[in-house]
Amino acid sequence: MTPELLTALFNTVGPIVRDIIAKHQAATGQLPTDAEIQATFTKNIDEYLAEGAAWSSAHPNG
Amino acid sequence: MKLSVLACVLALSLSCSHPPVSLSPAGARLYQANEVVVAIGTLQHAAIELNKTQVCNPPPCHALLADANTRIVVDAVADGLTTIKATPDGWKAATSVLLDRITARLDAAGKTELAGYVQAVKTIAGI
Repeated sequence: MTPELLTALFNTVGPIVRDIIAKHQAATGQLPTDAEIQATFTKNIDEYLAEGAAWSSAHPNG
Repeated sequence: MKLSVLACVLALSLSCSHPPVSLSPAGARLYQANEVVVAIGTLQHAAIELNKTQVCNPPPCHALLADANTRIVVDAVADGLTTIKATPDGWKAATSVLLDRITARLDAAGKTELAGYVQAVKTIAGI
């Protein structure tokens, strides 16, 4: 486990969900709506699926 | 830093996050599902990054997480996230199946490397 990976994980996971709210509040002065949470939910899933697919494509015999 | 500490911090950082009061009950459930999705995505990302990391003890140099173990995680995550996307309210069951599949198929080295991340997902999902 490299220190860089740990740092990346902390920086990635911890603030993600709360960052959604903070940015939304900063931009609009309002809390997120159901539609925005839905969009974030779908976007996250699609990004993770794409990351997995990219790894699989790069490792056809893995 | 111990993986157990990492797992605890990851779990606490998300498990204490309450849905915004602006959301409907359905939106709040989706918010909760999204937290688990992020945890699952982090597990996959960790596996992929560990696969990229090369270690040379013992020689020859090899990936910290073997390709076979990484594929187990990637495939299980793909199936799990596809299920959760189609049925968000079923996130808990899908996550449980995903983690059981990963745990059952990883070899000893893979279980050791990913133990903290798997536990973090379990804690965040309340499994």
